[in-house]
Amino acid sequence: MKISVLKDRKLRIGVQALFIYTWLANLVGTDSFLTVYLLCALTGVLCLWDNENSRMDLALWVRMLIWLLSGLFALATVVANYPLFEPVTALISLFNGGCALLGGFFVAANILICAIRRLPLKERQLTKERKYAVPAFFLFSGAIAAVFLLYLFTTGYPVYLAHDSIVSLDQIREGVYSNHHPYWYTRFIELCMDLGYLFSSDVNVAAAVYSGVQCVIMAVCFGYCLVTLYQAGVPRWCIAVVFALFAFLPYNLTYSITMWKDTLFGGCSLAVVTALYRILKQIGKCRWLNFAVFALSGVGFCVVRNNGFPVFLVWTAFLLIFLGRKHWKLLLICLLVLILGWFLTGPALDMLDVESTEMVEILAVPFQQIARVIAEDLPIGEEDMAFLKKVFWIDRVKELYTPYIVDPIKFEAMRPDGEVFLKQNMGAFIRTWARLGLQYPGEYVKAWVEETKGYWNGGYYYWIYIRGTYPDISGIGGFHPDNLGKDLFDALFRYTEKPVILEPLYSIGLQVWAIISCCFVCFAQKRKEFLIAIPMVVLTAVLWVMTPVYAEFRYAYPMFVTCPLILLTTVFSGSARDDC
Amino acid sequence: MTEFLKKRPKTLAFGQLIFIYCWLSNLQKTDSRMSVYLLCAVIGVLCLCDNYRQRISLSRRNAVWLGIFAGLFSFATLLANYALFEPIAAVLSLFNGGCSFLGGFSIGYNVLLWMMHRLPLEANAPNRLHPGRVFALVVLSIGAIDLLYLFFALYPGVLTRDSFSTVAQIMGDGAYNNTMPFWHTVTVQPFIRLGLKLFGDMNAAVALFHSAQILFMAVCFGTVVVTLYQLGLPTAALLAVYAVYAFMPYNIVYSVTLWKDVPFSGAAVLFAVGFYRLLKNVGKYRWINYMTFVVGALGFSLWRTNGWYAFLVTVLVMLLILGKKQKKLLLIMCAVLILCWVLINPVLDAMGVGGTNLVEAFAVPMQQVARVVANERPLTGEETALLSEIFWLDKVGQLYDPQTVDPVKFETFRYDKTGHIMDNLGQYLRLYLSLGAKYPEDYLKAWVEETKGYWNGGYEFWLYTLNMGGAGYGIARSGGDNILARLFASAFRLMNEPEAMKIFSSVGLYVWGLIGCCAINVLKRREEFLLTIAPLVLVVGLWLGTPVFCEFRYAYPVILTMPLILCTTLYRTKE
Repeated sequence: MKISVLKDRKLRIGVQALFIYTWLANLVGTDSFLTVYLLCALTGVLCLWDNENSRMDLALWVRMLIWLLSGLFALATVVANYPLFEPVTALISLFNGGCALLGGFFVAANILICAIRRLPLKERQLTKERKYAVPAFFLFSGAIAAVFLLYLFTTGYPVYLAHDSIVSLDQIREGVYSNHHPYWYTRFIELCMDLGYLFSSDVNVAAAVYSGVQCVIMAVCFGYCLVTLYQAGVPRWCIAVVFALFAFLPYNLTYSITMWKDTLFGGCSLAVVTALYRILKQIGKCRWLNFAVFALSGVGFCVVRNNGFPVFLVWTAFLLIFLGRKHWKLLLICLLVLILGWFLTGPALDMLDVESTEMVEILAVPFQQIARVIAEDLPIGEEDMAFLKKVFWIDRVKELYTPYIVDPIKFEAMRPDGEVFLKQNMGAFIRTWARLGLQYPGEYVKAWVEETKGYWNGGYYYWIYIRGTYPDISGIGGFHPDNLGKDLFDALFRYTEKPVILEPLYSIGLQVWAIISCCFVCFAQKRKEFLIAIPMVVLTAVLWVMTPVYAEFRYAYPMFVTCPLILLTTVFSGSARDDC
Repeated sequence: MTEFLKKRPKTLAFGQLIFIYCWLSNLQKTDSRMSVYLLCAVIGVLCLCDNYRQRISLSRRNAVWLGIFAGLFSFATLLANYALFEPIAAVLSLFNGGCSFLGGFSIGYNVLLWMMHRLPLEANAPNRLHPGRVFALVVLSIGAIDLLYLFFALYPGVLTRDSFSTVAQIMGDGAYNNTMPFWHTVTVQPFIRLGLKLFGDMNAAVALFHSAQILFMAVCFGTVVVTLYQLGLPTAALLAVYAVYAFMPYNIVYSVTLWKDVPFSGAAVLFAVGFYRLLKNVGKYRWINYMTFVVGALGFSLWRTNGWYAFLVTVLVMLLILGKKQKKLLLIMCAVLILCWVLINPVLDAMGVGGTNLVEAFAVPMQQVARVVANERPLTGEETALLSEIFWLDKVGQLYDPQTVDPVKFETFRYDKTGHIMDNLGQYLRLYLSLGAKYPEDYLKAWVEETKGYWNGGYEFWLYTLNMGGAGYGIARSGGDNILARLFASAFRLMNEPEAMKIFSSVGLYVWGLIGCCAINVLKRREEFLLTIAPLVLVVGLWLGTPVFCEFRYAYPVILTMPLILCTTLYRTKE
């Protein structure tokens, strides 16, 4: 950190450490995970000390970007905790806020500078030491699959169902499909269950086959990532830690047998990102296999979740800009994946008469902003109010507005014909939304913060997974006799969820910060690895703009599964740095 | 294992960092001030980094001592937060407790190790030729700030219930008692009488005393600053010390509060400064140092009931340590000790001044027994009978407050039975010990709850009051509605409310600092450790007999002497 007014090294360390302390002290009353801030601060202090002891001149554009990102980090932590700094205009709030902003800035800036200076840690030859890739892959995948299947048959048989899964099952039962829950994913469930029905007429068996298939797919994806780290020369203890995270963390275990698009989407995300890394770093003897995995998981990425396709599109644009002709094969495959993805999520669905997604799904944030203005009883112009009355039951909006989730507004405060009216008058809606925003910018910012903060700040206590099947509705019932395996898994869940020191493993915001930081560090070092983080960054940005819930873990699941790969490939490099 | 770690310093450092994170994480739901732990952790990590870089090696003896102090620090933080680690026998609690203990240990050890290795820094500021001017400047500026506060914001000052008791004795028919120390009442008396004679107004009389107290406190602060100035401390450090004395709200408010604790703390400062100046031959005029020392020692012994006992222990420790060195100094201390003994025993007896009630010293045992009763532990018939003699037992369960003995003392203790305790002291002592043997956990928890404010972090508890604790004698608050008063109020908010600033009023942090400075000076065989003895004796007294878990004014002497102790530990004059 170059601060010309502070020439003395000790003084610089002291001042920055003081502000970091102030940042932490001001955040003590936060409603998010304090442990995440603690971790950041301690890392920040460590990096501060390291930076001050061996300095490095950075290019101006890198410095500017560091300042920008650090400023955003500090702002994020302060804005997400705005109630701690209210009333915002009070002298004491300004003092506290100013100190906290500086402290947060120093934390992030020091970490980024240190990362740019120090990373990658080791550069190993790929082929000499790590030549048992195929056995390693089978070992990793097999072990993880065994753990998942053991969990399935001892604890979670035959499957875990969420409300969304029951809707998908209803569609399968009735044969009438909609794309609200992605059509191709619903058909995948149907395929698996049909496979199950070949063995037995019991719906539980059919559901268990789905779970089993999903367990194996996820295990393969995790194994693929692990073997890539192995081949990239990442130290063995790191691989062991990642293996433990994949195999034993409660959310990976439960998600592996939950009938959710998000699980498979997570798996596809990991596979496609890993494949790209292998292609870029030329890992593995069979290059065609890397391309094949990239193509297959790319298509999965596009069709398993509705926002997958646009994210892949943006990613392709990045690849096109930063890779150039040298990687023409990869770009060609991207193009093919895009075409296939577009066809499957567009024309094919039209041909199959599949009902498309409701438009209101993407209007969560504007809905919440307008709802907040209404709920706060702020004066609204007659014209705007008249328009809003055609979309919402105003009294219900006041009553039901919940800052962290749009569902009460979307499902209970919207008039039955509101959605149709909205579709027909989208321009007027945007104008009303913009007018109210100009009138009450503070409320809009607060509504946005409350609705999205889970994806850009620390971590929050919110539900992570479901362990049940709604047997009365779904007809699928779990039967879990007490057994040693169940007891062991229950103990595992207790010991990995209860200790506060493990909170960072459940923090969405921390994973997001880590991914963005890794992306930036690689970019600043002109390492191609930054490209593997791009889809996760774009996915996160999508959540910032239109998430319906403030900290829904499953929405961020792709970040959790890809974070170890992104982090370790930033920290360790499989080969010498090469320019883009 | 030790060899394995010695060969892998990086692994050891990272391990410590992780444990520090565990310590902080597990303490995040603490009922004490998190900011204190955060500060310790940040400093701990910086020290850890520096120690790692320097690869410091210590003698076995020093390493063991540092380990003991670090272990005590870590244990204190866990013990004070025992509720976070319950049920203690659960695997998860043991895991969390173990990791946290190692984290706290790492912090304590690294900070002390760094201090051992790096301190004292060289205080090398030449041209410190104007101590007189600096002293005058400090005294006048602090005096001016406090006087402005007195006359424009809080006229005629703060009088609590205790203060009114003192005033009542002065204004009464000459019936004094020693509950509010007699010699403090006698010190206040001339100012009140003179004020009444000069102005004919009780408020003016009280304000006159407060003005004198302001001047006295300003002189105390001035002597510290000028001593540090003469030692050659960097200007930034001097300014920081000055700012703490001049601007910290509790210093300003206390200087206009009629409490024994204020002059007593000032005397503690004078005693420490005088001692240090004599020890290190600071200043040209040795007689001034002697005067400072004697005035400090007299005030320290007379202005608080437990002051003389603390002074006695201090003198004994000094005698043991100094032996034949500093004969003159020790002689003076013994003389003061004897003089004060005469003043607070035969003289008071001759004047018919009533003594303090003995039960005042039994706060902790009372709380321990009360906790056993409140938790409805089985008692034998004999135990119940003995306790019923001195307590209204049925009220104890209802009124027991873990953090203060007052409800038990004032509402369930039968004051008329104090003599009964003295007559059956052996029996009651056996009862106390047998209950402790039967319910050690209750005893330990009662002690922790009653004293933790003086050995762990910091707690939210009142620091000072701006309200009048009573009425009478024509004393009434006036003014206070002007721009200056509003300015003071804003400044106080700005210095009291930010979480980051709360470390300045965290008693436990000061106590840790005191013990740390003492330990380092002892291990480095520096005479400066002698400065810490008197405050340490006071702190230990609080650990054994405090009636309230975190009363700031009780620890005020430690708060005021810490700048001197810390600075003399951090710096030494360049030879």
